[in-house]
Parts: sequence; structure tokens; C-alpha cells
Amino acid sequence: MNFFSIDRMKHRIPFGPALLAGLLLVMVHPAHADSYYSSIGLGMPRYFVSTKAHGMGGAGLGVVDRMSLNALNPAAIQIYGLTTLGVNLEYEYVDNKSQMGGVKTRNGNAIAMQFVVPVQKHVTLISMLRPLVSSRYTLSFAEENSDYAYTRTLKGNGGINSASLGLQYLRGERWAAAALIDFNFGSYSEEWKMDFSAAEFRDATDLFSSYVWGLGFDLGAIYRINKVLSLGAVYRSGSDMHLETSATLGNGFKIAADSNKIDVKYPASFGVGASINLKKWLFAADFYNQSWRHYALNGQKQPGFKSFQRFSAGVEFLESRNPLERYRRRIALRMGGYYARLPFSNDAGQQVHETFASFGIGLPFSVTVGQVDLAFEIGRRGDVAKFMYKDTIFRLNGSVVGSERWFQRRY
Amino acid sequence: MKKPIYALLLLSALLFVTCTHERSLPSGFDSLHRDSTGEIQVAYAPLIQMAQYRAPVSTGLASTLLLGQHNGVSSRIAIRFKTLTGIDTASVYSATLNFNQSAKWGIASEFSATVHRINTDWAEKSVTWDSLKNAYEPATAAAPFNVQPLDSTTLRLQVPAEWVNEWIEGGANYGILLDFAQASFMAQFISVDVTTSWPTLDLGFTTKSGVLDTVTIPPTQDVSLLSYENYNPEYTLEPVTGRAWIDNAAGYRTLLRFDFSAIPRHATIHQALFSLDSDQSSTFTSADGMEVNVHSIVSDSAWQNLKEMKLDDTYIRPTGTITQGAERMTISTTPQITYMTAAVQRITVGNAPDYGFVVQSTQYGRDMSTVSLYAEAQEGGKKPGLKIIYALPASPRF
Repeated sequence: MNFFSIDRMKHRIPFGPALLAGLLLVMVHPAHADSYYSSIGLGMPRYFVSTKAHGMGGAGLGVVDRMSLNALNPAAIQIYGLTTLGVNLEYEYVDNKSQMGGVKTRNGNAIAMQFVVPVQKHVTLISMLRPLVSSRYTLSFAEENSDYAYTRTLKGNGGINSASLGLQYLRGERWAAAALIDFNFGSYSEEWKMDFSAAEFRDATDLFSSYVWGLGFDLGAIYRINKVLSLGAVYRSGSDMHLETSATLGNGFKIAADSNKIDVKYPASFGVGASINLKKWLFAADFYNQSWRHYALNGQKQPGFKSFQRFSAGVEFLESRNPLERYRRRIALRMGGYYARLPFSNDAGQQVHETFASFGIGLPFSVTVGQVDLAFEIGRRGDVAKFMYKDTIFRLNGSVVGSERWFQRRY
Repeated sequence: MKKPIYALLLLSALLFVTCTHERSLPSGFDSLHRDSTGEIQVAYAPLIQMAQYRAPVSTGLASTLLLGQHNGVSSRIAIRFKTLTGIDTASVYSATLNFNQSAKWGIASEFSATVHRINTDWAEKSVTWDSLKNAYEPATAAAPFNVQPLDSTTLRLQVPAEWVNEWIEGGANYGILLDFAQASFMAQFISVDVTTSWPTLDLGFTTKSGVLDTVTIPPTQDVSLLSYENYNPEYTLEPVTGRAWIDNAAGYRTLLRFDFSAIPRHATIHQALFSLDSDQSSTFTSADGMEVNVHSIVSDSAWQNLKEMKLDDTYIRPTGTITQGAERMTISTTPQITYMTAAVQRITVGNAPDYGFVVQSTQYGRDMSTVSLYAEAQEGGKKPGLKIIYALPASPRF
């Protein structure tokens, strides 16, 4: 089967809208629905490989798939000479519960983008926009006495993305390595609002805005031991980031950003993964670790932080990759699950954890050069008794990947 | 197969991009890992200085006319009728001047007053007793009239008809002055500067055709001419020891200075509750009270040049009403309290100087209302007060 016998005219239309959609949707913060835990530190660490991996419990560090652009291990990207664009979207619905009650929140947004271009026979240029951490929460507090009655609301939003650019080198059929330079950037905003119930009081809002940036790098490698077994590994460096905060207070007072600068130590991480690729079945498992105990502000480690660790495993069933086969036989079905220990701990040193199950589906289009992946995850995070909050999460992840023969390389 | 894919793509995009729902998580902020979450604080700004001074009282456009004497303030009335076009000939045979009396100040018996012709021109907005006290004919051609110590009546007095005929024929018309030798109370009448019940001059005359006719003419100008006995000169700073005054006739206003040093500059003021305590035994106001407003002082921080002192005229001044029978006046209703809150916020954040406030009447010259304010903490805590409810900003996340 020659994957490159493709009519260019046939595939111009889906690639164009996908590119436009990517450009329009991608310049946003990483998105989650509300979680109290994301108000701690820099927010919730984001573990994103691909939507296909999401359907398999997040396992994908050791999986090579042409129509699944691996955002965590760039060495696992294999485009076979086709310029490929991927856009990822996420929708999350969270049922938050605490001892004081519960609330349901939801949020949807674009979260990542990949644009991969073949440069030479063995070299591929990779550019990505990926989430690193995200933060989203709205907390409220009410007080009433003889003098006043008010509701104080805190709305926080933000996160850090990584814009990466680098190269992948493919050595034969066995192994590939990749290195990316990361420009990590992001912003955080907090809006503190005071609403009094009586008109005789002046309501006010204080707004804090922080901007953060820094550099880092990614290294990835994949090794195919044989046609069945592959191993993958990634290392992401820590990043010494600069953060500046400005404020506009409800009384009109402004605090300039250059009067409040902080150095942020974003921790390094590593991950390993393996995959077993049988004729119709794909099994994958990952382990990922990020040393959040090294998270520091102005050189001071922050108390209560521990390593973020994640154990993922999943399986995919794909009856046939033959483009001449019936469409339903080319649909991939996936399932998996993961267990993660988040960086946050309580006073007793117990770490917040989350457990998820996932299901996914892969829908090829335009014969073999486009694919829509969908993944549905359901899980639980935290515990009311130990950590004040318990989140029950329903997450829908989707991606569109399309290829085209831009900058054609004949292999 | 393309169409279902496109539909799926579009639906996904819409779902992801538009479905955002924010609701607050139930929580106390103590779980937030912050040094401060901006709790509400209540402070009372100490009163550190209080004084008073007099300023000239302009009565030209006041809604009332005052005649008599009370609390060391004497008042005469000047009134002029220029519009005599309703009469075609100088044949007036009777002229009756009517005033609607609306209040009295003091407790005493009636006094006798006289009518005089003014022989010098005057302007309603600028005329004073000093400018007219030697500008009228001492002899009068009209009989004296009595002013009654009543809260409501009509005062009628006769104006010599020959004066009116001279005005009709084009003679000098500078109006008339109502004067008295001694008075034991102050009578208050309605002036021409209101919409109804103003003074009138009822004329009886014979037309050119020999028919008897009458006409009622309103005045074109009327004014109270105030004079003072045993008062400090105007623009003289008077320290306050026990009581401070706000007086519609004498022109007193009160200066206040509060200490805001305990309020940090970045605090947000949510409410500034301003209050004045009045000594009811020496506070006398009309039935609708004395309306006062609070001005921020923007020049003369030491209160040394009161005549040149500038008051803020950019922002709306908070206003309150002191009434007889209510010991404490608090500016507590919207929107006045929001103006006071904003005024205090401008000072604490540094956008306005902290030179103090002037509390003054909005009705100088209208009546004899006088308010006696407590000024000392020894008076059971009675003194001008400023209760401030504020919050400091929360600790930022980083």
C-alpha cells in the first residue's frame, strides 16, 4: 500500500478549514472547568500526549502513529513526508463537592496545536503549542452582621503554555530522536470582587494580573525493538521563569508590574512508555514524573508540594488500516485508565490523587490523510474528608489531524 | 463520509468554544493559602481639629424676607416694583403692599415698623445693610404698621400713593425700605424668588376714561438687609471648645479635620459614614430642617486664609439634613453616602489633599436656623464622627 498515491485536489478542502480552525482557536489559555486544586501553586499540571492517547488512559509515549501527533514525545511523530496539522480541543464538566456544598461547572476550549513539516529525508521540523499547567477557579464567601452584608468572590484563571520548535531525526526504521526549544509563557489573573447587598456600600473589584515567561527544552526518543515492541522516553527540562504582577485596585490605585517581580522555578519532568503493536491490537503503558517538590518562588521552595506521578495504560482495537476496506472496519476503538498523584498535599503529607477511566474512537477521513479522534474520560479527584474538595470529572477531548503534500519530499 | 466528519468537526468546535459555565465553588477563603484574603475592617477616623468661621450671607435670591431682630441679627427689607405698565395714568389713589408671613423666630410681642423711600440705586444680589443704611429718607409719609409674632398671616401695609404716581410718571424708582426701631423677634415672609405667594402691591387707580380699576403688581426685586451685633468679623478663624455653629443668618460654617493616617493608601473604602451630633437645647431649625453639605478643602491646609480658601467644586458634595428633634444627623442614604465615601477615598489614596472639610448650610440667608454641634469627646462621645468600612487588597497569588 502506497500511502503517497494521493490525489492532491481531493484533500485540499479538509486541510484548509483545519488550518484555519487551528489558527483561530489555538491562541487561548489551556482550559479546564473549575477546580479548587488549580488555585494552588501554578495550577493543575497538564499531561497531554494526544487525543488518541487520552482514549487509552493517556498512554502514548511509546506509540508511533502517523495520524496522531504526539505532543509529549516528539520523537514518536511519524508523518511520512506529509505536512501535518493537528488541533486539539477539550471540554470538561466537573461536579465539585465540599463540606459546604457542591456546584457544577463546565468549560470548553482549544488546548493544543501541532504543525509538522518534513525538511529532509530523515529530518522533520516540529512546532507545537501545548499546555503545561492550567488554573481555573471561582470561590465565594459571604458574611453578614449588623454593620454590613457582602459576598466576596474570587475568580482565578490562567496557566502556562509551551510554544515549541525543534527537529526530529529519524534513523532507519528503528529509532528516532527529537529535541525542541520551549518558550514557556502564560498569564494568571485574579479578580477579587466585593459585592454588598445594600446600595449604601461601594462595591469594588481588585484585579491582579501576572505574566510569566521562560525557556526550556524537550528531548524525546523512541526505539522500536522489533515490529511489535516499542519503547519511548521523554525529558522536559525545568524552566527558570520570570513572573511580573500588576494590580488595579478597586480604589483606582495601580501597582506597576515592574515593582513586583518574582523568579519562578518550574520543575523538570521525565517519562517512559512502552507499546505492544499486534495486528489489530495496540497495548500501551506510561509512567510520568514531574518533580514539583522543586517548585520555588525567588529560590524558596514552596511547602506542601510533592512529585506529580502518573501511571497510564490503555488498549486500541483497529480492524484494518487498508483504505480500501469498509469504513467501519477502519474506525479505531480505544479504552484505558490512569492513576495520578497530584503535586498538592494536605497538612498530614497526603497527596491529592485522581483516577480516571477513558474511552476513545478514531475516525479517519480523506482516505488516510485525515483523522478525527475523540476521547471521553470520567474520573475522580480528591477527597472531601482529607482535602476539602472532591471533583467528579467528565472530560471530552477531540482532535482533528490533516495532512497535505506541502513541501513535498519524495522518499 | 465527508459530511458527517464536517458536522462532527463543527459541533465539536461549537461545543468546546462556547460551553463555558462559571459558578463559584462553595468555600471559606481560609483554605486558599494566602496571608490575607482582604477581610473587611472598621475604623473610626479621629477628629483632630475643629473650628468655625463666618462668611458673608447673600440674601438677594433667598426664598424668604426677614424683618426684625433675633440672636443679635437684625434684618430690614428692601423691595422695588419696576413693572408698572398696567397703569395708563398716574392716578393711583391707593397702594397696599402685602406680605405672606410664613414663620417667626423668637418668642415676643408685636413690634412697630415703618416704610421709607430709598433714594439710591441698588442691586439685589450685592446690596447690604451698610450700603443702604444711609440711603433712605428718614421721614415717612406712611403710617407705621405692626408686625405680629405669628407663624402664618398676611401683613398689609400702606404705601403712599404719590410715590407710586411718581414712579409711573418716570421718577426715580429705587423702591422702599421697611425699617424698625426695636424688635423682639424676627418675622419671616415669602419672597419674590419663589413660585407662589410672593409679595404683591395692590393698586387702586382711575383709568384715562375715568373708570375705577385695580391691578396687582409683583415686585421685581426684594432682599433682606442683615446686620450683626457682637459677632466676630467675617473670615476670622474661631477655635471651638464646646460647641460649633452652623447659622443661616450669621453665616457660620464649621471646619473639621480627621486623621486618616491609619487607613493604608491601597485600602478600598466601601463606606464612609459621616455624622454630626447637635445640642438640641440650642439648635433651632425650620420644620424641614437645615440642609448642610460637606466640602473638601483643597487649599489653605492650615486654615489661615479663610477668604481665599478653595473648596472642591469638581465632585458632588454629600448632603444631609439636621432637624430639630434628632440629635444625630448621619449621611447614610444613597447617593449622598456614596459621595462621602468617594471623598474619603480620594484623600486616602492620595488623589485629593487632606486639608479637612467644611460643613456649611445650603440655605444661608433663608431663615434664622442655627445648629449647635457638639465638639468635645467629653460630651459622652458626642462629636463629629467618621466611621470607615474598608478592606485591604488580598495577598496576590505570587
